[in-house]
Amino acid sequence: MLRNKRADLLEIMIFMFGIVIVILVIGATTNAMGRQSEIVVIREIDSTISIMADAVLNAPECALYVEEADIEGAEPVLHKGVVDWDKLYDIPIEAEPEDMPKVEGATANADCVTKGPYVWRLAVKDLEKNETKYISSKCDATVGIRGSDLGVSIHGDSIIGEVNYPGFSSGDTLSVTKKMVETCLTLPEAFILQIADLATSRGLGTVKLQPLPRATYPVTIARNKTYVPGEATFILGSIEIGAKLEECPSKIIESMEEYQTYKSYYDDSEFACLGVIKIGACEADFNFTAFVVDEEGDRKTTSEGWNVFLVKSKESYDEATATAKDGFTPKVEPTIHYIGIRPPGGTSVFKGQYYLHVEISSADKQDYNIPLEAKIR
Amino acid sequence: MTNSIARSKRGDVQMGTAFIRDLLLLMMLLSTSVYIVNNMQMDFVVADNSVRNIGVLFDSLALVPGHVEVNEICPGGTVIAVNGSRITMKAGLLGQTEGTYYYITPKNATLPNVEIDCDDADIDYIRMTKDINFSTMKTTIGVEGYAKE
Repeated sequence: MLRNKRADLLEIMIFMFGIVIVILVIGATTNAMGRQSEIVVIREIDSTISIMADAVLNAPECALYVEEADIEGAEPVLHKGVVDWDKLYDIPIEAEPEDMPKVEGATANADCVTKGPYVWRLAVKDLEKNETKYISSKCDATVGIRGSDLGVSIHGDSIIGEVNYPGFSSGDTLSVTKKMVETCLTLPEAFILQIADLATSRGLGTVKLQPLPRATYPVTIARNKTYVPGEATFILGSIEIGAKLEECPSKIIESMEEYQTYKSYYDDSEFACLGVIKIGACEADFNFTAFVVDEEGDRKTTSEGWNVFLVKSKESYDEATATAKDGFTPKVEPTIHYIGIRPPGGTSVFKGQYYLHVEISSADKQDYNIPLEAKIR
Repeated sequence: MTNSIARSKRGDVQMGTAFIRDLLLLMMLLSTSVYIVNNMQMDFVVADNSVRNIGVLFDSLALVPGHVEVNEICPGGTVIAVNGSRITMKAGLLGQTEGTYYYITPKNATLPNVEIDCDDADIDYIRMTKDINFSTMKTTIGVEGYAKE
């Protein structure tokens, strides 16, 4: 049958138009929904501040003044909005973190209220004597600012701040001390300031930093069995929860690069340093085991002359961990590791016949195991 | 006159019906895909909102400085899991979608670890409780599903 070419062309054009419409409608819908959920997340910090402040001020474990019950067996008397001066601390917020005086029992703050990804600080001012005392939440191991437009994460033990944002290089770090992470006293504001400085130094004039929400409430302070008027200022920052173990592999093993050959400082032998094993944010405790397997999947052992060890940096490695024989299982800290391999007869034996096998397992769940493999080229 | 193309009226009609058929097919595909995508996105919003509704009730426990009990209707078609301070709610017909909420809790509190299926015939309501032991300052938060009496 003879068909009109013009009609065919028109048909194709209508189809194309239809496809474009489909893409646009679905894209717009998804985008609108995504934006909606984003708004919910961003607004949550604003609605959370009052509820958190209320909980901190009025929880007996935190700041609430609890009067002993006079009658034996009766419950203690609680009055909302009355703060116990003795539960607060004299830590000056303005001081440099290193200069912070050690306060007896300051870790008691850890027992105060917590909520998801938020860190908080409360400053209570005695309006009669013009004195201020503080209380704050304790930061978890992995924290970051969600309220800012920058993805920032800090790993508690190694105190590495990473800025993941276009324009920042991977070498950009934030000088955050362990004390800041432990107490969270200066963390939110210090973060914001440092990110702002970095943004300025990189010429990122358009980076928006969301100021931390704060709220001030009138309170009554119970001090030496007397009641005085006071003022409580609550500051809320947000933290990001570390990834669960199930989400860890991508964060743990960032890359397993091709090996490079290094000379050992100890015995002048040659070893290969395979890639960067980067331990990222991980909520759960985990271990990893690394060993070499051949093409048949058979594990290479020390009896065959193989050594696999953990290298702390490309420049040096710890002889103690280097003595770990055909594999190792350290409890890893969130930092960067390199894996060294010393094969029998020098590194020339590799030639694509061997694989580095890494298994990540949960410290809690015995049966949880994630195997990863990289070819040694 | 000799350049005019001979056109068959029958061919025109056939092509016209083919156009309409293709257009209808396209519109059906378009509306179905938009419907599915919208529904999946809506499930996310429903799960997110439902878990927040329950979550703020959990938040309210921390605001009362003594013993407190809060009861709420178990939303049908959802499964609520409370693991420590995290509440996860699964909802949705087209694939299960999840919403998560972290409620306020004292850091040293004893927290529940339960899963409540609101479609269960024995569960109509959720009961959330907070108790505080004033001698040890330890808080216990509890949650359970229960049937209408």
